[in-house]
Amino acid sequence: MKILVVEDETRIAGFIRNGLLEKGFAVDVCDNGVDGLHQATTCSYDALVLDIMLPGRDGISVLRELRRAGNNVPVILLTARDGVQDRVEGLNEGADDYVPKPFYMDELVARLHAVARRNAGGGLSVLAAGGVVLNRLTRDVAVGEKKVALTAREFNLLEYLMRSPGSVVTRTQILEKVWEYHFDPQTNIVDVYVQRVRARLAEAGAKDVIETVRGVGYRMRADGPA
Amino acid sequence: MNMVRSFRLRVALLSSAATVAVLLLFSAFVHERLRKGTQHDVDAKLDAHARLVLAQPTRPIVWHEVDRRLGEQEPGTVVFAWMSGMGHAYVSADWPEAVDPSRIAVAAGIPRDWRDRVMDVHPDHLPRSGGRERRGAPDDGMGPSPRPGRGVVELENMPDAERVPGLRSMEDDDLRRYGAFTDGETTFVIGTPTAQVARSLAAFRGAVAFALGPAFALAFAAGFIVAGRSLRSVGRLTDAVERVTATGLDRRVDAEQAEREFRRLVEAFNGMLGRLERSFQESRRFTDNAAHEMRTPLTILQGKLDEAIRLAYPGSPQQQMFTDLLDEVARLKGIVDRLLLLARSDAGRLDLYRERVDVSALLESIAEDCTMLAPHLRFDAKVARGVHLVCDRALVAQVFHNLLSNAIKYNRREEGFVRVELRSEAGHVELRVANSGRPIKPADAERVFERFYRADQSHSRAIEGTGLGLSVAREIARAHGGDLVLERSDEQETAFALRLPATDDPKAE
Repeated sequence: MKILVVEDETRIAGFIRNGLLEKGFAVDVCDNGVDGLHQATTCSYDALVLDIMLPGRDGISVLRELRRAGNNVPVILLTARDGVQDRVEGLNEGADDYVPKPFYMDELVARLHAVARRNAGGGLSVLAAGGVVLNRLTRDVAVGEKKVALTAREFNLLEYLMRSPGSVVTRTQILEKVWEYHFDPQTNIVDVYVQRVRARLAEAGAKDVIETVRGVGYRMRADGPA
Repeated sequence: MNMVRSFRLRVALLSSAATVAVLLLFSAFVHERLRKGTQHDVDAKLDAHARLVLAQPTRPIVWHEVDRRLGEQEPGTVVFAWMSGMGHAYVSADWPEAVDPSRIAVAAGIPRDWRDRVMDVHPDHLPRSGGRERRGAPDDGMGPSPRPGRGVVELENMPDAERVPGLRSMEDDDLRRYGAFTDGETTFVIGTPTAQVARSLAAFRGAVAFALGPAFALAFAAGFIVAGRSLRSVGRLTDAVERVTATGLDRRVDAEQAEREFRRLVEAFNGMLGRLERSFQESRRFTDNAAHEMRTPLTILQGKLDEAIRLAYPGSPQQQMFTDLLDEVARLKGIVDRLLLLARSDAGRLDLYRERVDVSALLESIAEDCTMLAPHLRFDAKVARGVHLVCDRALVAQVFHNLLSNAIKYNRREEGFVRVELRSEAGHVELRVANSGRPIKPADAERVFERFYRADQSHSRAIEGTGLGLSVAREIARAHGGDLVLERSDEQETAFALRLPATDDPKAE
């Protein structure tokens, strides 16, 4: 997948680029709105990551121009401002998603996958790791033939871990993404839930698929048990 | 008290009071002039009587004859006369006993030595010898016999009066006005009736008293109407101002359409709006810039740490360190978010992303987390099912979470409890979160909502938090048109009550 990142802050553009390359995306970067619009109209991309506050031409205006020209490339807006106005305006102008700064790379990657999937009509609705199969649409989890009953929050936690098997996520990241708490970090709630999900999976026969990385967080084992 | 708060009523009262005052003043003036005028007439009459008496050709004067003629001229006229050198006095039959003729004569300026003797002659001391005749004769006026006086009174050693011509004095009682006259030889007092005058004055006073009520009512009504009319302009102005404040600070009230008297007010209001608009724009720019300036380095920091954690060897000391740093970034992010929220709320532009939210479910999921976080506490939740609100989900969740996590953090270490109650009442939803624990001092009851305030300064290190939670929660509640208050705090429990109005917004369905 080929992504265009339009972001004037070079260090932010830098880690987005690295993070996306790591996940196997092809990435182009522009540092202003005018170049970004030019690049987006002249080359073909699978998705755009567009900052709102840009020199030259702001993100909203780039988006508006693209849509007026009939370009339906999926666009994810980035913004450091948190007004509802921005969000509503962005979505009204035809943005596919909206990511407030600061954000985690896996969040951006997940959203990129989501919008690309929407655009392509289907795709990654089933995740599989460590012998566990998770269906995002039906919200079913199964180990082999055995179904695993999970509560909504347990499902969300497992889904989050299964997005990037093999790479570690911290408790704070889990808390922010699964619980959507952007306040008081009370990370031991994550531990409690991880224990529960582990127990459910173990009952179904998938033991030790969620690994603890001491002092860091958790990670989904990438390969199925031998 | 409240009645006088009404401008309209005050104007009406004032105008009626003024009208009544003017009416009273005018009446008093007229009354006085009337009284003086009639007094003058009476005095002229007395003068005429006196002249008639003094014009008598015969000396000594035949007093009963004079009395009769005066009575014919005007019934009720009385006379008292000293017959100088004769030691007699003549008293009309109708002379009222309460009136002392000598006092009137004294007031008329009769010389002292003479006066002293006159003083002795008080009607009380007069023998009532003429009673019989008085009964028979007085008012038929047909009898040829002269109208007798009360009698001819013997006066001892009555000296000749000195000549003091034309002197007189007046005295009034309820019925008559008396005048004392002397030409030096003859001294007499004539009383002429004034009942007519008194009656006409009383009639006048009655008329005024009768007019007062309607005048008051009329002036009140007029004042009320006039004030109402002048207030109509103020009402129009108020409408215009309301339209402006409802539609946006960039609007202005049209000064041209306002009456001349109100134009200054409109201009002052427009000036104020201008300043407000500028300061709102400035604070908006400030919070936007502050948000951008603070979030950009946070984004870089978080992004780089995120990257570093992914690249580090799993479980390595570096990865653990980066994780700790990332947690601190998250904490900083939380503080920045709250400060920005407070700044936006101060600037009056805490934008809400309103949607229909099942607050029962939201509360239950947060309460469930809390029970897991604090298994040592007894949780007691009474949550009404299916309560929906049109609100900003993320912000309301933040308030719920703040209240519940406070209830856990500031609880007893052992045998503590948390009681959560969600009720839906007419027009609003109320959440009450109570917990055991050290009570908040009454003096601190409002201060817990202050920014960066910690109820227990000495323990502030032991309990995690920013000291912004409650002030943020209250701002969120108020932005939704509700409120957050400390309901009670004593040895039994500390309870916060959150009230949110149930606004039904069908488009959010």
